[in-house]
Amino acid sequence: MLLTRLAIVGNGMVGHCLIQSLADQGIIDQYTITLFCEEPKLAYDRVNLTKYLSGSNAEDLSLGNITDYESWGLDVKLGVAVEKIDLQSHCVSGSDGSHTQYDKLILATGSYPFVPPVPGHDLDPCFVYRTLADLDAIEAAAKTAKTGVVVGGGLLGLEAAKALVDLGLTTHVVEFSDRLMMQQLDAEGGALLRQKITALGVQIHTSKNTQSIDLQIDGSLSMAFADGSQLVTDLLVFSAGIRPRDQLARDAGLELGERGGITIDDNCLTSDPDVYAIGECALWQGRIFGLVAPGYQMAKVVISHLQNSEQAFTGADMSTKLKLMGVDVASIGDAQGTSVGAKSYRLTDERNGTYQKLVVNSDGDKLLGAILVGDASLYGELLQYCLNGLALPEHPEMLLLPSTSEASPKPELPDSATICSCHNVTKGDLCNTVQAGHSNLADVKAKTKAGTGCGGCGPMVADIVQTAVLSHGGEVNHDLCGHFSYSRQALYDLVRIKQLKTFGQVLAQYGSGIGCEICKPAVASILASCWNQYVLAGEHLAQQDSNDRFLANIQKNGTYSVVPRVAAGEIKPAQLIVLGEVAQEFDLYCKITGGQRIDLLGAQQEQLPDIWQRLIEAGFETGQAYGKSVRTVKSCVGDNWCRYGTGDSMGLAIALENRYKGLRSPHKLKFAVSGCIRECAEARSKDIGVIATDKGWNLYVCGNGGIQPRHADLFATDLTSETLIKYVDRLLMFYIKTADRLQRTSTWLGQLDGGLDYLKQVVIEDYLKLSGEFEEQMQSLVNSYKCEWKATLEDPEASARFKPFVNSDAKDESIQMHLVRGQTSPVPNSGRGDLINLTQVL
Amino acid sequence: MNQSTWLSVCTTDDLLAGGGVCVLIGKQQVALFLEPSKAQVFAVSNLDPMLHVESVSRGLMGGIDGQTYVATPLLKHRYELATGRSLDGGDQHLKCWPARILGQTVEVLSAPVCTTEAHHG
Repeated sequence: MLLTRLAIVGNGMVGHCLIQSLADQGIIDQYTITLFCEEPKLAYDRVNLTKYLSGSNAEDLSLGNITDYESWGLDVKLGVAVEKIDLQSHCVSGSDGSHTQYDKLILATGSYPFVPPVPGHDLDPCFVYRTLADLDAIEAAAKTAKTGVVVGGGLLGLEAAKALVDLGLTTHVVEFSDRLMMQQLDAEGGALLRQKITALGVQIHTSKNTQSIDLQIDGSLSMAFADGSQLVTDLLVFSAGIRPRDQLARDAGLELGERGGITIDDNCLTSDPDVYAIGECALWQGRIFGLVAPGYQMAKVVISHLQNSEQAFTGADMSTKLKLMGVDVASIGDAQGTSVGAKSYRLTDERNGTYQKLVVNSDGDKLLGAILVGDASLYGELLQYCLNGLALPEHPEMLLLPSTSEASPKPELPDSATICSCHNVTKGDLCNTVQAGHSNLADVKAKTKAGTGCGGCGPMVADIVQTAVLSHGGEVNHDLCGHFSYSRQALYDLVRIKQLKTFGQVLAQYGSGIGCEICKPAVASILASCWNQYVLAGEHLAQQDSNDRFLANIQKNGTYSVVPRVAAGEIKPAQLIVLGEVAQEFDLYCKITGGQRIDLLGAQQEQLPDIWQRLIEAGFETGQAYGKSVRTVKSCVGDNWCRYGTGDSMGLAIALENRYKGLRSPHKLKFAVSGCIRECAEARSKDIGVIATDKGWNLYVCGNGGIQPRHADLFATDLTSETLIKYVDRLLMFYIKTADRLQRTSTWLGQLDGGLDYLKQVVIEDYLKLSGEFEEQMQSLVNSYKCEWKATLEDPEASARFKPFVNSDAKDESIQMHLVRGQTSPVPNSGRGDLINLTQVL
Repeated sequence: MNQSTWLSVCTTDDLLAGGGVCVLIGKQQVALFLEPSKAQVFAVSNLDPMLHVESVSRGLMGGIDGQTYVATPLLKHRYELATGRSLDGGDQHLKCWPARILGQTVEVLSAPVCTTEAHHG
């Protein structure tokens, strides 16, 4: 069978979606695909472009992956623009001189930024905001600039303004109309948004018609406005809307709209039956869709048409929800209330700085549109009312009031209700997935992709899945184990509030039975996180996992490893010598760990107190490598030595390690500090990562290594050491309070409703008003720190428990060692082979 | 030869309520687990039958459906303390002996209750 030859022009988000969907549907091998990607990089997440300037790199944003593309058999022409399309001969000519024959051609050429034809618009310090290359250019220019102007106060303009703020510029926004986000907001909403953004230090100039831009003698730009006013700036970014990139189509003779855009029908076909157009270059019923979700829908329509099935493009919902510089803004449907007979309800809360507006039909029983500024938590619910034409409650205004059970009943959604508009997943899709046996939220998300686009529908997806699981007789069970019908988080709160100090008390009041290997260490960990008592005290001893019980890491042959703390890897020669002497004396195997310390392996249980006696005398402390607790703070050598260093990473790393050492948590915690952007300490693979900048410290959170590595997210920039420690205090206590047992920070963040933004609200903006409490709790843990090995050696009873036998002073003779590369190592499968019957002993 | 005898192995102070300790009887390592209520003591082989490492006494004690068990410290395999059988569906057994508390003294019967230890020895 001859394969259909597809030529795809453009590899933006929509072009990528087309390819990914072909692959996901398992039909990509039915086509011979040539892909033209004009940019030197495959598709990346343009929606989150601002993150590129606030810490994400091109890698984080990338969507398309050359390895995948090639494994799917694509001929990828990277950095090659299409110069000509010959519809007659079905041939595409590339800038590399190539000629490609196609059976079907798909144009996904996207849009370009509109630059008003003002004199001076093409001067050097004028930029647009669309591609990674644009951002690189802006970033380079910002290095010598102090002020920046964005022309355009719409959604994209405000995104660009955020970028300039992130680059440290004094930022102005110049808008032609009389308000911000003119497309999405009404006057009142626009005014509140303006007030909030002004409070963040961005100066807003509305009703400004730019007449000319002139280069001044010092290299700055002077903008002259129609009202006679002027504004001087070092650089200027145009972000005043988009225009479809339709030149190729125009040259080829395809039908265009009057004001541009490639005309398509409901199958996304252009005026040529073998050419499709999708995304922002396409014009459907006279409309261009400048959002990514409609583009994704078009991509799916094209695939369906290629496969001879009928799935028409029927327009798209242009509702949006976003966070602009920390301000929540959402706009749904007919936000301006221009429909015939439309009436509105508005609620302005000046105390909390929120504005909410409902637009309803004349009968008041259907929602036509809505605006939310300052608090967009109603977005999901309102969108469902609007998209699905659900009947509004008798008093629609009750929806705007703070939720009480009777005030805002949750709408009962039909199965056809689209929940995730990025991936077009309906409520029915979610319920069917649950019915097919997936009762876990993460599984359902992975299966349907719901909530994996913009993430705005996350809470609603969780809600629906939970309801579906329950209605199918399943149970959403967060119980710790069979002995406690409470989640770890609930138990933590109970322990704190009720001041419970022992496992026995917790079990007696909130549990049943005798406990198990799951709840015992989990409760022991909670108790340690709350009260920091000595873990080997009599009432705690039997609950400790084997590693904690012997304050060392058990190895495969039953011996233990010993890891003293070497804060930030800084170690004195005399201490190194002691480690060597101890290893030699006790015949221990030595290994340098990934956390910049030294592991001494092969210690028998009864040797541990003697080994630690020597180590403590030499000034060492327990490294707590055995606990679900803070491990190490890895560091590079920093600006004391390194010629590139910009910060004292050693100093900070030692301070952090000494502050948080001994802290027990739901899982282990790893930190790192890098002294400059070269990141030699690999901080972004840690739970807490810190990288020096020339103005302070950038804090990254919730990364990890392992089989599923996750880069830590940029959390806050240019912090002083004091603020950094404050944030880390709060974040760690919040994690300890809310995480599940054995949940690393990365998965915790992944499951946190509201994700990173919510975490920032809690930690930085003190949204829960718990910061003070968190800091106090952490300080009390810091103050009550005591080296557990020191405490053990001070307690003869505790030391005696390291004897292998309670009835004999004999050694455990079953452990067999041999030499490997000159060091002691376990004999493979060692242990006792022959058991003696007690009767035979007698 | 096969007549079983109660052996006095240690005192109740040597035991850990809700956890295990190890005694040496001849060359046999025996793990003793004491119920949190201190009502009953269990004696099982200290040898982890999967890994052939003397370590069972260092495992955590747990209860499920009225059965008391130990989860081994190395790989958390669960064995019922009264019978030695695996609770995870494995073929391996822990050898176990009757044990009792008489006053302050802990005693173990010299003949094992279950001899079906799946072991190559």
